[in-house]
Amino acid sequence: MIRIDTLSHILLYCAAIIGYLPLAPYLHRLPAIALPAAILAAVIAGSKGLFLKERPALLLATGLFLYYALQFNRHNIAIPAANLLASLQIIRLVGEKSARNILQSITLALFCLAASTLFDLSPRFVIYLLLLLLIFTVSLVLLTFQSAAPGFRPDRRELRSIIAIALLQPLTALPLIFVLFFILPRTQLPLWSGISMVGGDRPGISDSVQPGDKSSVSTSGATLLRVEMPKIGVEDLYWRAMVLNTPEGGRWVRREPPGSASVSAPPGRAVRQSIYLEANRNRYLPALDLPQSISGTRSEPSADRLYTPSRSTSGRLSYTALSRTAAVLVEKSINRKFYTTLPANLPDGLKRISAQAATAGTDRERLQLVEDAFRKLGLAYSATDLPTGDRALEKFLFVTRKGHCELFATAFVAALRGAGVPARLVGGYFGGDYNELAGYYAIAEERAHLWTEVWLAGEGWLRVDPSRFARNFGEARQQRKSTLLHRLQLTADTLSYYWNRVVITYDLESQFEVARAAGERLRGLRQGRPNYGQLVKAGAAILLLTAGLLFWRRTRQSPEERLLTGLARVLRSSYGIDLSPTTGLHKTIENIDNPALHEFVAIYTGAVYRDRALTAAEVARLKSLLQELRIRK
Amino acid sequence: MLGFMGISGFFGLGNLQKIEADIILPEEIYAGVPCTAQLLVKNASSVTPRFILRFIIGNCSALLPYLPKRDSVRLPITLSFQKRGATVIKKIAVTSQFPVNFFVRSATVHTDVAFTVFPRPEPLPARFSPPAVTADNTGPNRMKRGSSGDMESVGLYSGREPLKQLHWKLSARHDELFVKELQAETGLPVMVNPDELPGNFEERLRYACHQINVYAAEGRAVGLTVGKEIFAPSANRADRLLMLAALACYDQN
Repeated sequence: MIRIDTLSHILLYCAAIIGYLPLAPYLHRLPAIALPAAILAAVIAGSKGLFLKERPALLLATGLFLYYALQFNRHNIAIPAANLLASLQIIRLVGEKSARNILQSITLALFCLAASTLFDLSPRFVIYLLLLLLIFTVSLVLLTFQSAAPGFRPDRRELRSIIAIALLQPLTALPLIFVLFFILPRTQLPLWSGISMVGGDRPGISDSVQPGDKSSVSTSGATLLRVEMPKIGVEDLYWRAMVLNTPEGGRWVRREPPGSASVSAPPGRAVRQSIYLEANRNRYLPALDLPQSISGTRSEPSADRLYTPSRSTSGRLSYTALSRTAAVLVEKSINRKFYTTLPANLPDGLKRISAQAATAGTDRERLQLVEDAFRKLGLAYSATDLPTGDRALEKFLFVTRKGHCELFATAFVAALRGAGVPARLVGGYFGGDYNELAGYYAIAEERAHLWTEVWLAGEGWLRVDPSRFARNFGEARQQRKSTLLHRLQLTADTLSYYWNRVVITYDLESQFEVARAAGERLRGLRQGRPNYGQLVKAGAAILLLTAGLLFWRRTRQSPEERLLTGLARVLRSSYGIDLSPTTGLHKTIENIDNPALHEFVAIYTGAVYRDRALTAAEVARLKSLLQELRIRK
Repeated sequence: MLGFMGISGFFGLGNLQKIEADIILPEEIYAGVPCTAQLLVKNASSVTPRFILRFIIGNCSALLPYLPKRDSVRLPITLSFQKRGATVIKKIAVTSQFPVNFFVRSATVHTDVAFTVFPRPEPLPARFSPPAVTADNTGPNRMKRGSSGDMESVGLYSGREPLKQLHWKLSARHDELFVKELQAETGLPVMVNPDELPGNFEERLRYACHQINVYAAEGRAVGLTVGKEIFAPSANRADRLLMLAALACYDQN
């Protein structure tokens, strides 16, 4: 006999742990420690019948509610809510374990899990949710027994049946859950993170660059962009996300570019990409350089090929881009003054390089001279110990001679502009980790990069990456080595990829798209244009399924029938007796001297002749007797 | 969660399907006196067991927490009927909170069990003298020896006792013959007539019912006059039940 309340207590503790784990990183220290302690206390004290009485529990809950309610404000909603939920869970755990309280506690665990999605929408949520749902459904059934049949003590077989039917419910609900998934509204981003990130420290390419404003660059490995496309050479992996064209004080910013441009065609291989963009602060949609078109989300291209989404969104996005890797952005004439404006406080050395280059006859020759000058400087690429301050460029070019892409690109553009060659900065990402398993590039924040575009008359905007003039560029920006850890990271990222692709980016638009497609198909059927091939296939599948089901039902035997068949075989092969439907089993075997046979018949008839199903123990005994009879023959 | 809640409704409905129930009632049911009946419950489903079934008849119910598939059980249920007379149970309500305790679903099992509820037996109050309705109301005469009553003791055969009184088994073990000494027939037949009893109509029926049972318990033959119907005295149980039924149905309007 098993006590149902013991079992429901165990499930409650499991639920509390599962609800706690995803929320723990966002809780204040006290509830973060107190909740696991409360679980432990409930296990220990609960077994001795000790618990917090209802009245003090209610007072404590009211106090905590008031405490956290005072912390609520327009900018701070989620954290007090999460802490309040955790605190209520603590009170419930140390309180009395009535059926009602257990149900409340498991529901609180579900709320805790739901609260964690205010901060993070990772695929781990699904695992936690599935586990909690299983616990919730089994607990609901057990608690129903606890309150409706308090004296009931099921044996193992009964308990197995109860748990099996309880587990069957969520499994049967799966098709309905699937349907509801397509119907119900959803969010594409963690609600609180989405709200709090506005104007805050969010990943992505910044819309201005100031050389010397930081001593090191981001090394965040968080994936910002996943791009489903065939693998291409690393030299072509420039992801265009920003163009900065105007110096403003010590900074480079973006002004709406004058004129219009077109992408040269056909040079360059066309690469189609399906892009899944994480929530970030980019104002433009990143795509492989040079993007020719973007579809899947409404966007407007600018003259310098940046795509602005027509509706502002701070959530995840998915879209398709078509790019040409070796194409050139053709702009027949440009506003030369706009693209040759110099930033202030340029180092003298840089001015000298410009002046030297300016002596050449054409822009291409000037470009060549500046490139040569940079190569001669013997610069090195580094992401740390970067020169800072107003004289950062001078320190970079002539003192430390090491810097990162921002310093290389801003110095190069300044040198070119000084020589009268139109140039601009292009920001985005370089490289990417190709996930062979799912066929996509994962591009982390640390791959942010800045390069330049130089306008040459008759050719257009050419991409020049001055960081390549660094003597160690290959080593510094090389692809990550394929270590076991890296492979594991990529495999884990695959899960995130599919989660985003299937669940998160499935939005209202997709819901309308599904409804529209279904409507069109229905119209097609009404207009008498059904796809007969598919109809035949579906019909055949249904027929096969029905036939299989009928066959299974017909051939399926109850344990009693199977045992009787076994006995008939033994009687026929060992004693030459055929079982007759008109002769009772006792009569059939009365002249056979075999105790095992008589025991078999006694047990069998004791149940079946009394219109009672065989118990599990009886079936086991009968099977062993049958085995014995078969061996003896 | 919404999907699960939706599907739990179907499980709840399925839990009340394919349930067969029948009632086995005790032979004597008295108005206002609780009696224990047996519900014969069968789960005709070959797929799933049934859980937390509550069977309700009138104001009485019995709980069956678990019923395996293709199995049947006898479930005791305490019933109580307030009115005497012919009664029919036409339906048994089956309710269940399974699978979740948010809703109680119910179904009806139709039956057609007819039976008679006898008047509640009530002893005649002490203030009333015993009714002079009997041919002989001297009561049971347990001390008189007879030849057809219950065995009272064993004695030695004197030669006068009839041979049928010989205690063969005992005699076989001894050298002497033993005879069974039997009581005399317990009392003389008695007639009960509710119209001659004190109290209002229903009270008279209850007193009559009680008297019939008391005399029967004493082993006396008891008869009944109820309206124009007369039951000859009898010590037979079946006759007693017929008399109680006649009392139960007497002038119900």
